[in-house]
Amino acid sequence: MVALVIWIVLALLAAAVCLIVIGAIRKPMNELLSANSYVSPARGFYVRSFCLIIFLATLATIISAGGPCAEQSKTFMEGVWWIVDSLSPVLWCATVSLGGYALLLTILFAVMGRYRDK
Amino acid sequence: MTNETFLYLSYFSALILGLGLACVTLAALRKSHREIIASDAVGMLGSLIKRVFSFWVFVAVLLAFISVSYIDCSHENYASVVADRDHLVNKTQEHLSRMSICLAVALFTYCLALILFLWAGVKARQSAPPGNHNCML
Repeated sequence: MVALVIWIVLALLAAAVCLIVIGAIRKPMNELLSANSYVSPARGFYVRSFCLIIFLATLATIISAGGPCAEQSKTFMEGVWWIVDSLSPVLWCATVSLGGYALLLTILFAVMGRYRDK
Repeated sequence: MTNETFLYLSYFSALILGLGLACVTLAALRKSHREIIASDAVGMLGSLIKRVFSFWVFVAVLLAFISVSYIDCSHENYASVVADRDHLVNKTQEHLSRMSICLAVALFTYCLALILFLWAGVKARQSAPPGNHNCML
């Protein structure tokens, strides 16, 4: 039961990280992708893909973390340490996804940004 | 529940969950993907990429699922795999985790491929004669 509660806390924290990243990036990304009529039809797809990629990467890391075993959740602080340890790959995944998507948008604008609407 | 029953249940549940995740992903992106095709941004490639996208997502999930093996150095045969419940639980987690990450990677690579499709659409529009929007691509 304690292990389940600890895992739920981890899942909630991971969801919060996910939502913070999406909330911070979504609006500027929308504006960026409205740059010209060649890119704007794909705006919705790129924004939704970004949200899904962050969500799936976070999901993968919290699933692979599993739950703490009995020795890892005897005291309150042991539970906290387990959560912090498991949160580290979540943050790594969010960072790598964000970096990857920034690279993708840079390529998109290097290719498509030079075309101007007539 | 015996370990063998747990193996059957977890193995097929993981497969169903992975395919369900792929379906949810496709449903979430279907509308925006249709907008790209309807806007003529990718020219006549639209009909092709509509089919490629669904295939791409499902193949990614299935590839991730079949890439997980229950047999390893400490579990060399079926009997030793079934005897170890922790191993079965770990492998189920690995199935789900790998399917999620593969789906994310597949989406990312599709987004990269979409840049090429958009670029090809622009090139085709620019090379088409004025007034003719049904370009060659």
